[in-house]
Amino acid sequence: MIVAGKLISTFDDTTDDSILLNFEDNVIDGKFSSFAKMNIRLSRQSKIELAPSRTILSLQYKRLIEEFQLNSHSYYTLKVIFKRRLLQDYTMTSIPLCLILQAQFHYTINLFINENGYINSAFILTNNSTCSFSNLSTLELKNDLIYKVPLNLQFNNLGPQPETQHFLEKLKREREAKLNAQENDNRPFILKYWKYLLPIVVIFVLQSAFTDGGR
Amino acid sequence: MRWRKVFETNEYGKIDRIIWYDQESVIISGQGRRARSLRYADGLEVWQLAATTTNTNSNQDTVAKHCQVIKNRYDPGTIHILSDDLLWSVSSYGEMLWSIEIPIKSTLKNLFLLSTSQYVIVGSLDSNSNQLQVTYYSKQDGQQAFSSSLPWSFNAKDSLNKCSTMNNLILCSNNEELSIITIPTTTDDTNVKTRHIKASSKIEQIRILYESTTRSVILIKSDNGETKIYQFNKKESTSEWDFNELNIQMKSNSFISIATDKNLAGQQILEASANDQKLNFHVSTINEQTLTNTRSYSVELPENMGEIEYLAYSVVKNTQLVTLRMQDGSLLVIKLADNGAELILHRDEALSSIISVETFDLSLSITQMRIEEEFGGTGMFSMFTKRISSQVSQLISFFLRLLDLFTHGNRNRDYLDKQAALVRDEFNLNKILIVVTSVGKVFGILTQSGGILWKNFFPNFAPFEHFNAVHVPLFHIRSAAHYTHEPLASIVYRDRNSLHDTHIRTFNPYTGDLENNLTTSSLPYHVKRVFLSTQAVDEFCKVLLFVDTNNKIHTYPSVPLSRALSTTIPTYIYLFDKSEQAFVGYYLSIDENDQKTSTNLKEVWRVSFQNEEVINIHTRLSSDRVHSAGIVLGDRSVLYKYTNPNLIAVVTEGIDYQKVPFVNIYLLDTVTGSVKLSHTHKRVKSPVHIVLSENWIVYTYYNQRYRRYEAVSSSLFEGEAQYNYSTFSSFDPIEPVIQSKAYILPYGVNAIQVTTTEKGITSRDIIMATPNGMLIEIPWILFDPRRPLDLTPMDREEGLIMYTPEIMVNFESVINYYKYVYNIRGIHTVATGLESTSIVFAYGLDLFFTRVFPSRIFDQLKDDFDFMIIGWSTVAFVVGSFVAKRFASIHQTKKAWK
Repeated sequence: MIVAGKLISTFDDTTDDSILLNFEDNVIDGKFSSFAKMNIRLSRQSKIELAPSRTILSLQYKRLIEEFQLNSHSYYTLKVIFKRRLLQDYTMTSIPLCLILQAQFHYTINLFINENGYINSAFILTNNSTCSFSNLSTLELKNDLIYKVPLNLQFNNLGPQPETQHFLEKLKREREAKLNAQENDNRPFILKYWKYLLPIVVIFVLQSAFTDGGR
Repeated sequence: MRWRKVFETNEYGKIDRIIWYDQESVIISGQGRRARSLRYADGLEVWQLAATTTNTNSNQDTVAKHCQVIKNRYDPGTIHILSDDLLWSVSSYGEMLWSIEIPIKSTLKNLFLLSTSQYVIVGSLDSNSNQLQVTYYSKQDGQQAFSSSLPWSFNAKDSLNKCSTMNNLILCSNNEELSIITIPTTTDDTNVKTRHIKASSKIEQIRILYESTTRSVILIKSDNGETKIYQFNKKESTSEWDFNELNIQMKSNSFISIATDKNLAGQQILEASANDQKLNFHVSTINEQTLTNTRSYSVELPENMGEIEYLAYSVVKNTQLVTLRMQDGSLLVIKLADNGAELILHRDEALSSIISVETFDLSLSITQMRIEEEFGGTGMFSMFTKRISSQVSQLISFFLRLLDLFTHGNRNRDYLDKQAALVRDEFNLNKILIVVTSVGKVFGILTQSGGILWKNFFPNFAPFEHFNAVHVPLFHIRSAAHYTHEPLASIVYRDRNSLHDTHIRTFNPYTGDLENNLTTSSLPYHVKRVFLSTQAVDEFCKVLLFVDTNNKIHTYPSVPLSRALSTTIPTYIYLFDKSEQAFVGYYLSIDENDQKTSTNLKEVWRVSFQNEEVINIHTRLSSDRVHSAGIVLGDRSVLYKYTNPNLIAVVTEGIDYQKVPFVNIYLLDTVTGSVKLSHTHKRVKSPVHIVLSENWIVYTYYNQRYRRYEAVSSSLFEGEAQYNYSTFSSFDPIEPVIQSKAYILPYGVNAIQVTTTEKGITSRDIIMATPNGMLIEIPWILFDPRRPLDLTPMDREEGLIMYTPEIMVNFESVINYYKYVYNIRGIHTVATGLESTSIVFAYGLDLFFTRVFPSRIFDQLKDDFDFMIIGWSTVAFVVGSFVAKRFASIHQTKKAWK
């Protein structure tokens, strides 16, 4: 993901770099209804906390658990309607209802934003991917549930380029290192290889000494 | 085949017209911008000329150009070419005579090109004043001589579609009337004459069958099937023509061609028509107004080839030859002689237009089947009896075979060899390829020999459109794994005449025989998408599932959805809406006891692409296997792969706010609609070729900025810990870590694919087809995004290679050696029974098949393995051990006596 600072270059010439977002979900009677609205500026933000205008009443939560028990394949669907310049469109994503109930409406929304500043896709993450009836039935709710939904903006990455420059620099570095090694080593032959020459000389000396002694 | 010349794949390779001479032919291509000459004897390109133009407006390339090419009838060695605003003349020996640019405007369009002995005449339509401006240019140097104009009632489009030129005549059809406009050829004569021919119904086609300076023959076809032939004769010392109708009765589907030869008394006219598997010919000599000396021929074709699409009749050294292209893409040459017609050449040119490929295992041999049966029982007693009975039958068949060998010798050898080729080999290396071509011909090809086993032609065939290409869904309805049942394959295609009608044809891949119970041409809904069921229903057969235009899902043949799809694993389907540039994901909920055969889909996600256009979708191969869940690093820790089976790759194109073109590549999860990877490449050109496998993607594109082909490789990892080691769910809270690297490719790319093996243990190789005809096998390890720039001992321990920006291709990795294959459009890879071996089939203009061994041959003995040495050394060891034993015992005895 590109950090927010880098993004300024992408959108800086557009004066209207803001997107109006409207978040809807289907928890109330299975119909889509808005729970949060906000205006975001693409060049500044990448992590935002959503301020929902709705809470889930404990009664509603109970009803949702009952609904889930009737149909284990029910889904929690999030619809993000966005408006940028004159264009309005929406993206949608779903997650098994049970996961949302288990997480008590604490989840993260990831929004993917394309090259021209339009929203491609949305994705919900909860902290778990499995849930069961038993987990749900143990959850007792005394107060109303408040949505806790942080919003992550993810922007298009610039695709990688062949790292020719780095590679050439590395080759240059290696060549220089080699040259330096050669330059430093301009000592006379005897000084350079005395480690290897010394044992040979010693052996010769010893050998001649022994042969002389033998006579 | 003596020679072949493959032209460019770009617009310069598209042939506009061929002009035939005695020794060579001149080919005009690239919308009249290239001329070249090919010699018949050896295919040598004798010369090539490019049009010299000062107009380098790049926008013009995208606009369809209009091009006319004519041979000057008065000077046959000169060819005049009109390409939009450019008029040029070349001689047949490769000299550019002259070239001029004619100014055009949006209201003035050059349409017609005519020639006389002195002038080249261009007819341009001035749509402001509805006049046809006729400009005369000198034939010698292209200087404008004079011009005149005449009233014109057709618009530019009609003039192009409904008019033809011939000598100094323009022929235009206007409903039931044919107008013949005579253009004056000299300055003295300014009289434009228009005459008309009435037809019984609306004229569909005007075709010039023969053209010379004094005589011409044309054919007029009306929409009621009536065909008339007119003969034109030039009046002496004027530029006017007389015409008369030839008295000839023709069938509505017949084709006409005319041949002239110096040795022939007159001209001969050939009428050809196809009727089922029979071709009928009538050859006559043209006299003044009638046809005389009519002879009829007919030839039986080896198979149904549909209607005639092209016909040419020629007389070469007193041999009458007819060349035909049939609807199924077949090229036929038929020799007409006194003793009848004879088919002397038949080539299945359809094989150069393959669009879908599937591979089937060959059937088990009787012995292999018996082995399957031998171990097939359940109870102890039944297992015992099965074993005994099968072994007895094996013994009997062995004796029978011996008896047959003694009594008949090798007489049945050929037949037996042929039968053996259709039986599965020990390692399942030989397969049968089912290929579907864009003309509607389906072939069964044996991989062992490349021989065509069977072919079927579906005349009303039209493929489905898939972005810029065409495709035909081809499915394994029943695989060859069930040896008691014959395998079945299905194709789904549209009707040629009514594109909303869908046909399903199911056939046996070994014989091509149609299975009529699973074949239909009347689905009561309009199909939007088709896929195969996950569960086998009756007799190991899978069913087809169709999504109709109302987003309702149906099964064919009609079975309850609960039987076709898994009720425990949820089913998700995605559809792409081209008008909204959006992917919509649907969920299909099926109750176990539900007996419904069709149901509505429930929308669960939507991904929209605003200001960018989706140009391709790529899915992973269904045979993709992942063997290991992670990579062992140098420090012995494990890096876990993110192997999401629900990913698809989406390629989009667009222009950003700085007007810079870009290409985006997305990895989309089809269960949640989330984007797992998105890469933007600026100043990059499609086509983008993609390979998606395991936890990685490799894609290639053309970089306009550096003018080179590049490949990007990305791998997705979960990290050092695995979220769930047993199952994967798209709802898992995993944010994959992406590693990417880009590489420079030494060649362009026509198609890429990854090798497939049975268990996925063998390392992967990328097979790449290049425009220069090579198929290159590159180990994936060279594309590995984890290749480090500075290699540490840890990386070396892991087996990583140091990063170099260019992928170096060794010529040893060209798997087709010097057998170059051109214009490859796709590569199909299949696993074999041997884990080390993958099958590669490349198709395009040429076909190529081979086996590759990405990790070398680790599970086979090499061809040059010395069995003698191993045999003799075993014997020697056995003998040696006995001798040593003997000596040892003697030694022991002696020792005991001491």
